[in-house]
Amino acid sequence: MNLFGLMDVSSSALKAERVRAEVVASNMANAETTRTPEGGPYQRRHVVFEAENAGNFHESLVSHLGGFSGSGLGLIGSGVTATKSVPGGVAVTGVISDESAPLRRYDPQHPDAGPDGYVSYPDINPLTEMVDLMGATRSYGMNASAIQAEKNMVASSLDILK
Amino acid sequence: MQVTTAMSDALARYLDLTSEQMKLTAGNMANVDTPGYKTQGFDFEQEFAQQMNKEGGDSSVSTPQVQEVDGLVSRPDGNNVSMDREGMQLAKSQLQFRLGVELLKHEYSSVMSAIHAEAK
Amino acid sequence: MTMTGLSGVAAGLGTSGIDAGSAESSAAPFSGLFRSMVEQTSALDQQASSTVDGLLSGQGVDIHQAMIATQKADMAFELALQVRNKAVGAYQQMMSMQF
Repeated sequence: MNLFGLMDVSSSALKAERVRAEVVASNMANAETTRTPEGGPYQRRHVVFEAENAGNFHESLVSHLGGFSGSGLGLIGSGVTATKSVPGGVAVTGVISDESAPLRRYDPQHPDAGPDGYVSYPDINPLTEMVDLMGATRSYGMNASAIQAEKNMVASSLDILK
Repeated sequence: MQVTTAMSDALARYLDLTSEQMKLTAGNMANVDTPGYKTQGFDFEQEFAQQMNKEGGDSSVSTPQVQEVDGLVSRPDGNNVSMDREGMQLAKSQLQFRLGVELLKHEYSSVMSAIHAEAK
Repeated sequence: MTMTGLSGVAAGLGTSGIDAGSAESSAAPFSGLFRSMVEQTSALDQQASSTVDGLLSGQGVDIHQAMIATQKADMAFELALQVRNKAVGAYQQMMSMQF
């Protein structure tokens, strides 16, 4: 892990938690949506997190520490893509739809009512979503303070030369 | 000719280990919500003692043994990262790093003043 | 005299290997000593610049390792410089002696 690799790990967490919060917001906004372009009611979505190279964290650490060879500044500017994988970090591998059955309520007057008079609503529990949001907020805050700590460490490293 | 003292070598290794600890803590915190992730860590005191015993010409950078930390409770999704523990590790590593840097600066400045000492 | 100042510099470091070299009474102990100092200084300097390169190019070098390597190179250079200054001063003092 290089100088800013530590910050990359924490910022991957910030990114992932933000996606999670956005998905929660989308779920809550669409809690009563009965029609979607795909037909049928809104399906609750949730995110899937995956640890980046979790098993290889140690190997990548070893290879980084043992392998620097002072090859000059040629590598600056490579690997600036937004989606490069960060060993030790977290990645959102997908936003998947919940396959659970929708809630059905009897309301024949509703324009989206089926032939039997039932309207399908998404099965979204606001309490579940709020707890999820609180978890995402807490994780976001902790990782933001991790970035502060990392910044302080770099700043105090610079003090060595003073 | 040797410009470093035993103390400054020890402090350099201390800083190395502390920054390793920091990296692991950051990785653990990032994966607090990943299903199945287990907290990674290493025994700081033991690794430091090993590094101290190893020296005597051997100045290669060796990495600590990273293992899963035991004694932590797993949540239903398999994740066992405790935010409290990681928060405490974060604060501790920061302070340790600060300590190491200050002591190292002090060491280097005393060597420098010995070099610049005017002979009478 | 300035020669005592020189060993004062060496003693100030506490753990130097200079004493071994200067204890010999071979033909030019001091020039051998000084050459080895220069070599070690340049070796430390090489190491420092390769460490800093590693840091800048984003390979696995920590910032504190680069700082420490740079500081070591600085100290070695300062030491060699002071030794040279003292040696030149001693030479000049010798030369200015009236017999």
